[in-house]
Amino acid sequence: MAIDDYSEGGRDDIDRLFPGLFRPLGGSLFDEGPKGLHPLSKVDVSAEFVTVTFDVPGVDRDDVTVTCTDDTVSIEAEMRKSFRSGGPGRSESSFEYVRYSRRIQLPVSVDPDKGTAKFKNGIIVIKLPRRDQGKTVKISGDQAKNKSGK
Amino acid sequence: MPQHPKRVQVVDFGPRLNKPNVIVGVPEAGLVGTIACSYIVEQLKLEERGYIDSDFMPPVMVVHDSGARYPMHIFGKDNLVVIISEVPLAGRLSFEVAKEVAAWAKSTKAELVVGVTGAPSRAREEAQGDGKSTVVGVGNDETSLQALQTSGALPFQDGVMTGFYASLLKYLMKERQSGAVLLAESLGQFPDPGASVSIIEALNPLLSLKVDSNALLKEAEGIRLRTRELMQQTQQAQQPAAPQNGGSSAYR
Repeated sequence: MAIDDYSEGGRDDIDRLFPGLFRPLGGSLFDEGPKGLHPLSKVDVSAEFVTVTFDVPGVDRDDVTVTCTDDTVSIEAEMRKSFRSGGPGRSESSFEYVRYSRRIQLPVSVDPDKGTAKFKNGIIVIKLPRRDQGKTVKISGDQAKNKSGK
Repeated sequence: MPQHPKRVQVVDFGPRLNKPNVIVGVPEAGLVGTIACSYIVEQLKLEERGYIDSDFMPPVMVVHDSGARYPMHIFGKDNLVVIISEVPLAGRLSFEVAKEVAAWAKSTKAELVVGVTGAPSRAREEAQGDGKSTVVGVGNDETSLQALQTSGALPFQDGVMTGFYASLLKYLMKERQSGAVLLAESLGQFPDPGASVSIIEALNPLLSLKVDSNALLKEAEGIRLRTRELMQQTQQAQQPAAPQNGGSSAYR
């Protein structure tokens, strides 16, 4: 796969659009593994499902691998173009990323065999049914008394 | 009784303004306002003419080409001013900045102050940020409500707004300064340049601008990558309890 670079061509275009704004200062980017950029993500938990969403701009659907276990969701995705993130001394110290990589620990247990995923616009949504779905609890009490208003 | 010094300073070193239109974008849902404002600054080649500083600001300076700069910028040319924050505004900072921006706008006899932002929406989440967004508008007086009719934004009939833009509208009303907020349906926690395009398309007729949004759409992927760190900071600033912590929302 031919890998272009957002820093040459693409990155220059973006710099023209955003001259200096939003340039990362290094910071948390130092904490990331070599060439594996952590995608933005969110986890939503409902009564029946856990939905994990990853923002992976610049990848094609066929270059995304999602792996689920009972309590984790992992993503590996190869970028169409590498992304150069400017650290301090941008040209010398910048980091180049060619893929996304992230593992999320889920807050509840899920059934990975029944999961579904959909990909559009560089966003992947993984929906997994919960294993620990709550059961409806019947409430007993003096309903009749209240209904009669006595 | 001793007067308290201002906790937020708006420093404008640009040429004198005459009834400018002012656009304000701070990091919130989908970074819609900041992305839109930055794009307008670049497309219209606006020049930096000031900054906003505050005791409440986190200890952040932005470094561009080895030079330290304040993270809240004021850009302008002719009678258009754009105010952009590169840091999320949380807690007291949020309403103190809104208050001083309103007072400063009044001092320039601004024609209209327009806040631009995103409003997280289920429809936008389900569309996975694809395509354009619906834009709704809120005005604080008859002048702004009439102006909004030219924008193509739908009226935000009834509902509640919280956060920076609610404060901005409130303080603009206190100053008797015409103001409006445009909210584009957006992704909540991921950068949403598509929603920013919808904002620009509403601003063009509203303020008689000619900003071509094509390049923004074309570069959306790279912008999403470049702004991910600011998005992360914005998410953190808005947790856990959004209204108390300065996060914004609007709902009907």
